Amino acid sequence: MPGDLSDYIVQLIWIILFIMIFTGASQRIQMKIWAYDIRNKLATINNYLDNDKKRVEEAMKKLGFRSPSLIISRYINYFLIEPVSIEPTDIIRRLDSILTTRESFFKDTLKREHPALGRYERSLIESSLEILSALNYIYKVVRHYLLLGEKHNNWILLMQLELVMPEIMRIVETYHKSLDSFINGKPIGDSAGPLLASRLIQLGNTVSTRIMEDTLIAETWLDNRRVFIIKAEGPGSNVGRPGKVLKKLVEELHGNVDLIITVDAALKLEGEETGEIAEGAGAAIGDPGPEKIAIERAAAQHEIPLTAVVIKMGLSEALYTMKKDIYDAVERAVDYVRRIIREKTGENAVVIVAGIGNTIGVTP
Amino acid sequence: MALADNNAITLLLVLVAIALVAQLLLESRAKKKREPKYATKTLLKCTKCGYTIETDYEPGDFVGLIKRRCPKCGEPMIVYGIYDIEIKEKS
Repeated sequence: MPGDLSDYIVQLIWIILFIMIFTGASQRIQMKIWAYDIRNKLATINNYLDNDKKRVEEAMKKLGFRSPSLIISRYINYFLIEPVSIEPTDIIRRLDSILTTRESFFKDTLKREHPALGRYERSLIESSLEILSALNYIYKVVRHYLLLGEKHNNWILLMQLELVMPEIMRIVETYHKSLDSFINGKPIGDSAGPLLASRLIQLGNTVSTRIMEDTLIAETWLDNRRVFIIKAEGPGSNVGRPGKVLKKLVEELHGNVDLIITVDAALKLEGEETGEIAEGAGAAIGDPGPEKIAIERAAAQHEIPLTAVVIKMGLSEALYTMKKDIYDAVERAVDYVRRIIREKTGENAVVIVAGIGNTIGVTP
Repeated sequence: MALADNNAITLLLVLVAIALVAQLLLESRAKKKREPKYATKTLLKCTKCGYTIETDYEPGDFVGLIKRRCPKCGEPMIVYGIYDIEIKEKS
């Protein structure tokens, strides 16, 4: 008799399972589990956002801003509409105009709110606000898809969101943890290019330096070559306009340039070592387009060889304070770049080296 | 005999289910690695003799800043590098 009862129970369980499968009830349970997990992660993102807002607000108060919360709320909701791509004519000029408008908004608003604030401090606040803006955007998008999925019982949408959540959380944590470097002005992994440029300036015999569009051009003699070094003007958080400046410099030199080398931090593939140095052809620069195309056009117009040197690192390593491994890689990359110059050009040749990236904590 | 077989299969299924759940729990726990801690250091280099000192980072430090005098030759020292090093915790 007890054996019969257990048989009935097992059969009942199977029947319930079949009913659940055919009526979609199992999917609903699965959907609830996914939604619960996404909601928890969304709460974590919100928590990071609140904490980071408080940190930036405190930093702004210390610097003398009167109403930081109002500035923050205006900044983090600022958006950018990409130019029409169905008609590609002039797309780079249009994109550049939009990016310049965005950059000016960030700079000018802070200037207006606190005219006495120094450029260095202002650049750190600008970058901190950009981090808040990115976190706020991610939070809003994840919340949108979660609510949309729940509203329409769209389990495919929730499943997709659940599957990409680990990657989203990795990006969110990277932004959250990188705030420390930007608030304090410490060099980050992405500063590898500007740090290399700074080293070359120190090693060479510098003839002149000038600033053009937040970007430094140093003319120096290194290994018996006339080397023009381009980097963003430091030590504030700034990427400069290396593409436009390089193009202008090539025009000033009437195209009489023997070699252009761009040096930048590059995202490594899984399995690659941090600090690995690689050489290639093309412009090593990760901008949305205008700067990169300016370098490519300048090189193509005057048939100048365009060499790229990259220092590999992960996304988090690029945004966190520069790790010792990356610092050591920069020191090795300096020798690497000098060897390329010696191998590819003769004495008295004209070479342009552009150290691409955020120059935070690195001067000149 | 058939009844005893059924019970054994049910018991086996229950055990397999428990083993699977235990495996999943153990796997998720093993993934939680302890995050390494870092300290930011400032590398100072003498502009004349090249003597270097590694000190703790202080707010306001940046590469290229002239910070102090060289303890060996008395010439100015510049901030040559700023980087994070991993702090190894004693286990």
